[in-house]
Amino acid sequence: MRRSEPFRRDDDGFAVALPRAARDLLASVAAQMREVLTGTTADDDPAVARLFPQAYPDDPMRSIEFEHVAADDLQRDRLERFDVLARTAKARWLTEEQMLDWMRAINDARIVLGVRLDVTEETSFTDVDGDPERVGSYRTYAYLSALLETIVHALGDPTDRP
Amino acid sequence: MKGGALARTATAPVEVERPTGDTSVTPDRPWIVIVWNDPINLMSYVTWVFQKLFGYPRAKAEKLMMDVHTKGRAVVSSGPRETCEADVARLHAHGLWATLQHDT
Repeated sequence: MRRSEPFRRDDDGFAVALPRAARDLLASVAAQMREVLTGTTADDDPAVARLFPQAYPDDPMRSIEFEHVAADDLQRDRLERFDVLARTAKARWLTEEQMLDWMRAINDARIVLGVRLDVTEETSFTDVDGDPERVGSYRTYAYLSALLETIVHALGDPTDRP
Repeated sequence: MKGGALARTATAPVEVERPTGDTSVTPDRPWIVIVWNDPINLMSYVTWVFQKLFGYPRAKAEKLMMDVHTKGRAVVSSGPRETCEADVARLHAHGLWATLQHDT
C-alpha cells in the first residue's frame, strides 16, 4: 500500500496530507525563524548573513546602497512567509500562493539550519553523530529537505503554468 | 522541536568562501548576475527557481544549475544594472546566493 503524497495539486491549489507531528514541527520552525530574523542581524549571525548576501562582493558602497533599497522588503516578505506557514501549518488545503510561501519559508529554515550545522554537499548523519542537539538539528534539516523536494515536485514545471 | 534546532549554538562561525570577481567600473559593459554554489540549496529547487524567475525552459535551467554545482558559479542573467539588481533581489528572496558585477 502506498502512502498518499504529502502535497497533491488539484484544480486551484494543493491538498496537504501531512502527519500531525510534521505540522507541529513546521509551526515550531516558523516561530523559531521569526525569532532568528527579528532577534539577530547579519552582523552577528552568519546564518542570517547567508539569507541577506552582499550584492556586490567587491564594492561595499554599492552593496550598502543595494541593501538600503532591498533589505527591508526582503526581511518583511520573509517574516510574512513564516506567518503564513505558522497560520496554515494545520491546513488540509493550500492556495498556490500559500504553497509558494511554504516552499520559500522551508528553504529559509534549511539555510539557517545548514549554516548552523556547517553542512557540506557530503554531510550525512555520521558527521553530526554524538552531540544530541546537532543530531536533532540535522534530523530537522534532513526532514525539511525531503519535504522541500516533494513541494518542488508537486509544483511542477513553472514554465507550464503562465 | 526539542532544544530549539534553530537556536544559536556555540559552534564557531562558518568560514564563508568569498566570491571574488572583477567589479571595476566600465560603463559601456553590461552587468551580469552570478549565482554561486552553496551546499544547502537543492538541485531540484535551484532548477525550479531559474525556471520560475527567468522563464527558462527546463533544459536551460538544469544546465545553469549544473554549472553552479560543478563549476561553482553560473551567469544566470545580464543587462542594465537596474534589471540585474532586481534579479539579484528576487534570487535572494528565494535563498540563492547571487551577486552582480560588470561583464568581463
